[in-house]
Amino acid sequence: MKTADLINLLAKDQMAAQLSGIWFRRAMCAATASAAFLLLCFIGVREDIAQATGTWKFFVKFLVEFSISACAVMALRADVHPGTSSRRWIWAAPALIGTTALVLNCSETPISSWRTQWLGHTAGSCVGLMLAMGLLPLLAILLAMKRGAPRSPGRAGAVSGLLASGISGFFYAFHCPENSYLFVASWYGLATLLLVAIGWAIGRRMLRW
Amino acid sequence: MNGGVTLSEQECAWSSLMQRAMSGDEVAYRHFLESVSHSLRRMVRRGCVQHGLPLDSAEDLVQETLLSLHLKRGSWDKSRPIGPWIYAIARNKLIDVARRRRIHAPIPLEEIGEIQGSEDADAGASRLDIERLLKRVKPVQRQAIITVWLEGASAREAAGILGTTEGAVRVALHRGLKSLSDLLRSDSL
Repeated sequence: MKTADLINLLAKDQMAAQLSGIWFRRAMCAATASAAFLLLCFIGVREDIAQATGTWKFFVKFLVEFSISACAVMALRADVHPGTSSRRWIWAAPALIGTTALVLNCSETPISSWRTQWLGHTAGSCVGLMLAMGLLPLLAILLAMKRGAPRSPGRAGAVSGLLASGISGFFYAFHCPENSYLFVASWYGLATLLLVAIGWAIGRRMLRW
Repeated sequence: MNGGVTLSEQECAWSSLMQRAMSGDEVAYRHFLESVSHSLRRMVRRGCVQHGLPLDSAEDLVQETLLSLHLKRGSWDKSRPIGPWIYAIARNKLIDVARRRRIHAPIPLEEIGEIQGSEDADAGASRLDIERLLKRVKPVQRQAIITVWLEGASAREAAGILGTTEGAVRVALHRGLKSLSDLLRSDSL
């Protein structure tokens, strides 16, 4: 066999380049489906959803979680596919939306109520349920990342955890009866940090090559 | 950075070709493989001399290394220089073959003298016939490889010829190349 023939043959095999993309899309479908399934079949949407849809506080949660997920997806893509730029500035979007909501929330409520807002009524179940809804998505995303050989295993695992928290937070917001952003920033934040830590811990072992 | 080591123009070119290849650019990928194969040929011939391997096994090594590079291209770290990654894979192949052959007898000096001259003389017909190993690859994968390689068909044309889908041809081709690489590793040259 001539080397030139082999080169022609190899150039026609585009599987290696496409594989990780296909698996990443599948993982995203599985992740969203599993979080939605848990919400609809076990956790349920909040009872006052009809009134809640009339307030900005209901919608901004989705905006924050969605923009976190979108940024994480782009970061993971850039990590796996050489040649795409990582565009770090996009992270300003979730940070800006979240901070604005928090500041607005604090400016329209008296300081004396901040402590009760922060504790809310569902802090424990918020962290527990967000974690539970995020574990399957995290596993699916990590499995897809494993096919892509990311640059830094720990960081890719952590960003995978962040993406899983974005997905689980998005669906958890349909259930969550809390309306204060002091609550959201603390307890959604804690669940997010935990998922990031879990993702980092699993990723640094699982994504090594 | 890594003090003193400068990226050669060659490596920058490889790096950018590979980045385009990873986003599915077939032409860029072919250029990359061709350019790399020339450098590999020089390197492998020198290595054959050092390890006391006959020079006629050089082209086999070039092809094995190309196949290995191809199957491992997902593992290339785009933030690092591409040269060391390529050479590490080539070196491993070389050591692998040297160990398999267990030949340590030095090669006569006259032959070393010829290396420079005969460099690209027969730009690579390998002694090792991949055709022979192909017989041991699963029929579906073998058919995909033969149709794409011998008849020069694209994946879509091959799908038409073989009466299957384009996706199935792509998968069979990729898996076939992977089993070829495994066979090469187990089968002594």
